[in-house]
Amino acid sequence: MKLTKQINICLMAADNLRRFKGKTIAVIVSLTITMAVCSFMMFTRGGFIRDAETARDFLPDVTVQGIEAGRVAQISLDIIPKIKDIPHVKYVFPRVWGYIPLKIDETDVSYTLMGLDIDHFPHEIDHNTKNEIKLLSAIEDGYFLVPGDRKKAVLGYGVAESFRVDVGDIFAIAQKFGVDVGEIKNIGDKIKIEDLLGNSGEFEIVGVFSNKVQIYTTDLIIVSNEDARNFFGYAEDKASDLLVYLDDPAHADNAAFMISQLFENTRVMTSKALTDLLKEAFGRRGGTFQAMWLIMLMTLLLLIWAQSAHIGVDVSREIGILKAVGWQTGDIIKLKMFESLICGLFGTIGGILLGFVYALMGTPGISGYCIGCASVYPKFPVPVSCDFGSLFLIFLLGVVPVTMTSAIPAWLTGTIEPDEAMRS
Amino acid sequence: MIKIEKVSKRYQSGKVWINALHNVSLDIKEGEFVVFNGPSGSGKSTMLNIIGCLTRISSGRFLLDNEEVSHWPDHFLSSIRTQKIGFIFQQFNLVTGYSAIENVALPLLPLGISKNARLKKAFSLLEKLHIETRADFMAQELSGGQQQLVAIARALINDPKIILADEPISNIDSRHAENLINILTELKKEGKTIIATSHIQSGINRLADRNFTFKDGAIS
Repeated sequence: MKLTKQINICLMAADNLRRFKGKTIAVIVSLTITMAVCSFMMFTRGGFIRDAETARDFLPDVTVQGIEAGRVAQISLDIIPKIKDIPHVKYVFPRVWGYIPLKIDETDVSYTLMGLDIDHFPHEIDHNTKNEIKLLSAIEDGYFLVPGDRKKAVLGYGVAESFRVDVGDIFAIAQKFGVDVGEIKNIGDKIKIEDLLGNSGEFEIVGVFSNKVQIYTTDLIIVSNEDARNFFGYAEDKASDLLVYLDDPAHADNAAFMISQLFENTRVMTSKALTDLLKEAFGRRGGTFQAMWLIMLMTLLLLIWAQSAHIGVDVSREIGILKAVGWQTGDIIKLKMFESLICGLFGTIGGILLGFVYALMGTPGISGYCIGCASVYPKFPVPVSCDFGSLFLIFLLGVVPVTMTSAIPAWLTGTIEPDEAMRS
Repeated sequence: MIKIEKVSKRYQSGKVWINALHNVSLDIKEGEFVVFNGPSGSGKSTMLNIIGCLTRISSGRFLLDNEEVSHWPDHFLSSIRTQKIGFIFQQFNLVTGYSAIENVALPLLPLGISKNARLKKAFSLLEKLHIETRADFMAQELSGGQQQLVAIARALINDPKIILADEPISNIDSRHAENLINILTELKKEGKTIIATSHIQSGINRLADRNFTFKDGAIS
């Protein structure tokens, strides 16, 4: 009996929504748009956070940069032995890296050429230690550079896509020539690229990173340190920074503190600090949308409230009639809540689907803002992450306020005497 | 059955307080047909609303079936309206956007009765009132007389002991008024307690066991 009563009231609520089609459609469409903004924001934010966490796995426990006149500068390799003496330090690798500015299809783009100490880099992944160097396991095609590899490169997924190259192709970076990205290259082909700074190089592609780690690797070209030195014109005893790996990442803060104490002209960052920076950057962008969404939701709720609070003569009369024929105030509130619940559910589900599709489409129009590295070419898709927690939160934010916003005015009208409600 | 003792009713209209009823007392026995006469604003509709538990008294006592219901909480009054009272409004008060049969079945909805059972019962009442051909018409598509019949069917759907009719013939033509008087006569024969209001002397007064005339919020 009680269930039948709830079903009866729910069906009547659906009938009422059908009766007031215009108002119903207006509420559902507004809510769908609002929740779509909320959804794509949550999904992309979740994606960025997930990618930032993934990227953390690829970062060394501690990164040491040189500082000169208060600015980041090249670092001397002389300090490596002293860093190695710090407790828990397992490896210290110099890294030489820089940007390669290019013009592709009339678009200014930039890739990162990164040289690693290939000859000493651990190539056997030690699964027993927490600080395994995961770059090695992120290769999708081919292999990671091995000791002795020169003029060879591992490409990020975005770079490989840009130049339509694959494992075994020759990847060339040359001066003052136009870039041809229009055809798939084969082994032995040369790709002429104009580096706007005058740098040049030629490498054989031996591996391509998986697209699952794009946020960290999409614009990367990894070569040996020697090749990177030649490319950027670094001296033998200099590097861009030092990568410090520990036997236990839990000691990262201590190690970082000791390095910063030992060497004054250095900037020392733990992987956590770098990840937090990354998260904060994306979080700030997410915050913009969060603020936008909050404003939209508040506007919508105010509109619903204004409309519900200013209950029309027809609705007030209807509530009076229902009370007069024996309906209880609770049933009337339930009726109005069911009406809002149905609107809320439809609007929220529609918004989630719309937001998800928009996020999957790469958030057209705002992807550059979302990703924050608009010079990466081709554009890598905005990461999307959809989990139960996010969905639950979206439902909570979409359905509950809308339901409550119309329930309160219904309660206010429902508690006045039937003859008064019919007369008002 | 219905006992009204020194009942007063005041309400506020804007900034003005209006004394709609002042120290009114009356008794109505089960099965009686009573008519409240009087001009507009005399207090007869307010008295009907009090008996129908649609509004509360300001002072005095209102006993229904020997229980003082004046101060009962809202949900108890709703139960009384469902179980004991059928109200026929002057303006019919049908819900627009619903069909005639849906309007008739409306009081059964929160009782947990299935849709089929509700509509079946509603249709049988519409048949009894010879308006079953208009069952699927929207309320706003019906004539005044037809709306009146639908409102009567709705008032009878829970088989109440008391029928309250506020100016039942004031908004319908003479043919429908005659029909209504016949229906009320039948209901009286069935033993229902009927209380109606009328601002003019009409056929309804002829049916009444007793007439009360209201003037300025009191029985004259």
